[in-house]
Amino acid sequence: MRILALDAALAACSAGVVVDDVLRASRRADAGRGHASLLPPMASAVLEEAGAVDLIAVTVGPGGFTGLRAALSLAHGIGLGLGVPVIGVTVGEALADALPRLGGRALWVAIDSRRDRVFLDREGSVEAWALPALPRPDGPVAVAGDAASAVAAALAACGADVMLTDARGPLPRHVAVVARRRYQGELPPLAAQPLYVDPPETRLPAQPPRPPPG
Amino acid sequence: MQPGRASGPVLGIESSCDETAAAVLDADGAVLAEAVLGQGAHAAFGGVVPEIAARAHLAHLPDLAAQVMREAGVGWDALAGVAASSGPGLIGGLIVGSGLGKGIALARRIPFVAVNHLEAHALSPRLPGLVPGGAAFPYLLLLVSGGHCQCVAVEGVGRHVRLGGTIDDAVGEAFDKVGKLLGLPWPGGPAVERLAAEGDPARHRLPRPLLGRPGCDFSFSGLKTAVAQLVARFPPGGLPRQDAADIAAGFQAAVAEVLADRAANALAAFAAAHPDGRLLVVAGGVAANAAVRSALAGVAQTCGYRLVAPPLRLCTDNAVMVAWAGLERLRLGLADGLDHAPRPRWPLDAPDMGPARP
Repeated sequence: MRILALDAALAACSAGVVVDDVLRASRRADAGRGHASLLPPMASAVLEEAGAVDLIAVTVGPGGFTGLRAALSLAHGIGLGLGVPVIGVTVGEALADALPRLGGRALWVAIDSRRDRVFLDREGSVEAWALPALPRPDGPVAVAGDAASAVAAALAACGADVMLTDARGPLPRHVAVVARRRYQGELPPLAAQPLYVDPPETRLPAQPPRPPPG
Repeated sequence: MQPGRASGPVLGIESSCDETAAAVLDADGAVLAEAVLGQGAHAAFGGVVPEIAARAHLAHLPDLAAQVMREAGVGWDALAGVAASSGPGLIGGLIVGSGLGKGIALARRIPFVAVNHLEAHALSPRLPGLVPGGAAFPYLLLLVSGGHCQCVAVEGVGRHVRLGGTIDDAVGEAFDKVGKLLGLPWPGGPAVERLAAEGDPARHRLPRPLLGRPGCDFSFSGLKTAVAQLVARFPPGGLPRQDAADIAAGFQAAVAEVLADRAANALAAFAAAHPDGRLLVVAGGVAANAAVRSALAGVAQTCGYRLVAPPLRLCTDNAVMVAWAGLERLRLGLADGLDHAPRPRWPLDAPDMGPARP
């Protein structure tokens, strides 16, 4: 199976073509906030290099909204243009695929959010936590993700049995493998839409509006 | 691609504010299919919430694009280009629309056009069949909407001279704010106009900011403050209907008079530079307001100009105008790289608007 894997969930972004679970072409860049201008040429380049694909795999987060929107909209566009399905993959799933042997440790994927918060993906359940108020693990854990260092340190300071992994962000091959498994029904379906975790930030008007004229 | 005619249909995408829209035009600019989804979720907040808008665009745009392509009977392999609003506007939506457009373009190896949303409004009167005899360059554009308020000499594709604009609020924003003060639902424009129809515009003499002053800049914040002060004299609760209607009518009359005054100055400046100009085009949601239209028609007639207002569905945000702007650019051999960065601010006279774009 030939898969285009796109990721712009975290600070870096990447595009790769993975054929039968083997990476055939890839591009990677540190994006800052420039995912929307960096990722499309990268996707075009790997498609030119490796040829047509049967499936688009794209990370849905948790992560930065700017990058997620850039990658997901691009993925849907390519999916429409080529007439192939678009399959969402969480950052946690991609990192778990990269860490198959954890010696019985539970994997916690920690993604940096704003204002001293992290998104914590514990076996597929994602919640936002304040760094100083993290939950305590029941047993030994392994920590991955771009906030792994801070989370591992905080957990170790509470006496938890923590292993810090070196998996910081999704890589195209793992994004593609998870998408293939999802497409083949080995994993539950997932909408190719951002995993926002939090509801949109809104503020209702300070004063209640005046009722309509009598 | 041969200049003069695109080689096939063009898909247009619009997502710069709170309308999610897609449209397909054939190579000559005839509309094959169009769709606009409004976002009702903002009403409770009394204005567009950027994060809500961005989420809704991404949730709906892929299906909407597929829908218009189906309705147009155009296969993805038949497209000659994709055009997406890429600024100015709310960045979350712009990223979604331009990302989707780039994805389709790179998948089909067809040109991508990063359309300036303001240029899409500016070129909309050139859509085939809209103006009898066509809207040849140059013409004067008055863009009056919730997000924009400016006078622009449209001299060609990518050739725009901004003659003046608002120094504070956009005129549609003033309508929204006044609507909110009067207790009317958002968006305020249509509601204020309906209420104004029952009112006496002469009861309150509201300020006419910049009226009679040289130039064609606009200002609406003082007018809005005057309305707020009038409303504040009433006790909390719903305003008596006649009082609210008189305020709405007074406000609308002030806006119409100011717009006409500024448009007259803009026309004079435009005519001095372009003795061959004959067309005043008004676009944007506020162009739907009958009092505004009639005031502008008066100015145009006095100056020997014809007033053209595209039909409402092409005046407010839509994807037909985006596809059309894309077509106009493709005909000149203009397209953009996949690395084009969508941007919240993108003035019409920015250096990268000109036909010299690579």
